[in-house]
Amino acid sequence: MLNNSLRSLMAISPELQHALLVLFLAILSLLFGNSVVLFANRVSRSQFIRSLLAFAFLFLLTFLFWTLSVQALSAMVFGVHKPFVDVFIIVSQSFTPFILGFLILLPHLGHYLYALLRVWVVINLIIHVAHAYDFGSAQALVVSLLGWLLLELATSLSFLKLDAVKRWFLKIATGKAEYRDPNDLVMAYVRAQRALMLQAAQQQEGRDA
Amino acid sequence: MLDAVILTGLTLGAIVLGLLFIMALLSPLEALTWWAGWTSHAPSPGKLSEEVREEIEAQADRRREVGARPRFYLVYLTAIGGVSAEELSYRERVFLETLTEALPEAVIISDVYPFSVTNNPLTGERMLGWLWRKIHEKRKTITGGILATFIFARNLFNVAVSADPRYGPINNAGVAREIAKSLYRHDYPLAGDIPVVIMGWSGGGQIAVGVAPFLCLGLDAPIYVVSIGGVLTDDPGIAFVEHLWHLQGDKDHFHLISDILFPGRWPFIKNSAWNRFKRAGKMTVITPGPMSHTGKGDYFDSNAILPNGQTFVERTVEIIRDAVRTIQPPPPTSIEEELEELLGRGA
Repeated sequence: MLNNSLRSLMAISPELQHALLVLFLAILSLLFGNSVVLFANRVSRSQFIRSLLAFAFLFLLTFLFWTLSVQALSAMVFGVHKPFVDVFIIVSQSFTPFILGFLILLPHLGHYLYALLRVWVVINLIIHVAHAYDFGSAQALVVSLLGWLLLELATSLSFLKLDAVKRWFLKIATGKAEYRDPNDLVMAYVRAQRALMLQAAQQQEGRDA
Repeated sequence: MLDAVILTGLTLGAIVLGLLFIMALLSPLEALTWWAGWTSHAPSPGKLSEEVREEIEAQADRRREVGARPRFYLVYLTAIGGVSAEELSYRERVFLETLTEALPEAVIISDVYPFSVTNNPLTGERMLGWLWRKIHEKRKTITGGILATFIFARNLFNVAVSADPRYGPINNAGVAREIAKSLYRHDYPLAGDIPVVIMGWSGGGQIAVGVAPFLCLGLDAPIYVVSIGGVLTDDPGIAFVEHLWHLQGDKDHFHLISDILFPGRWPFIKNSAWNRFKRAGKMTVITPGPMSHTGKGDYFDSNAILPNGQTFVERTVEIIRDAVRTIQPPPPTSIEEELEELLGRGA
């Protein structure tokens, strides 16, 4: 089974192999970089692994949507059609900076680096699209960013219920539907501890009386 | 020959930089794994920790013996050179003794190590405890002195963790929990009310601000901060501080690091927590004299003398004494009232 998979992987073009490797490393690195949310939500070790896999799947879906949007937009708007595999290679190459995604873990510098990496990826995509399609900057910008805008729009349209689907998927895959902000979680914890402590003190006073 | 020396130097430099990079990358893990429940002493949200429950019972027993209520509690947090709250430097001990004499109406606490969420000393029971103990033992030798850089770096990264909005709440809640436990061990009333002053030296200053929201909420107490040459970041926790006194010696330029590195401190970011706090008049910057940040001539130096004959440490103590004596205690509340309010908020 593994041999067959390896053989079929070897059979594909070196460019696609390289693209798959970049995508795999980028997803892995980004997930570790962003793993703070999992710790903050107090997941167990097994849940941690399952959550990483679930988030990797969601990231892959986003990536594929973006790839398809680049392919569709360049065909529909500018009449240039390229096979899906070629567009896949272009988009994954532009994701190369995300291999440094683990650096997001660095305290203080991490979130600035994350912003920098995202900007770098977008610029990379525009350059790669412009080069591969022989587009001007404006055309490449439209093709690269319109897909991202569509995705943002789709996730904010409540009637599409994408958020509910995401929560359902996370619940099935990881046992947790929602991942909350660390500050909210910690504040709720401190407040609950205070209430428990006061109740215990009240009981103690009752016993003393 | 010279090439070999340069090559060795470069290799060593690269190794040290690599190690520091790995340390920085792994620095949030202690707090994160603690919070996630992957290590011992993890918080259990649904129930009160056994230590706190025991403390409530012990305090009830002690209450009968306790005399007058202290006017305030002062908690001292050491700087990034510290390996443990038990092993403070000689100059810090002198400072705390002088402060205790100057403020008989206060309870002064110094048993919390600010760079660990479980108050676990660097030299305590931890995976690399043996290594930190070795470095700490050899600190006074030349090689040990160089290796001690790793202690500074480790704790500096911990300060960065405390200031990072992603990790800060978790890290600071852990340290605040240890401070609260220590306060209760020192008979801090469960109903709160008595002002708590957190004093932090250097990196301890950031931790003092970072823990403020959690102490304010967890103790139901007004929180004040005394920063002794503190490296204060743009931590939003400052909004929970009633007043901050920042001592800044003429020869202490460490504040420039925070001025540059933390955008929330830039004067033109008008809406940052730091700038709002300053505008509200809640911060007093005091220049105690020609003090440096650390070492000879620092805030705790008992040999360096001011023109008026006061030692540096005496001057530092005098300023802190005069500052904290301006604190007015809040009106007392009962446990019942507070509980009602808390449960009403849906705790």
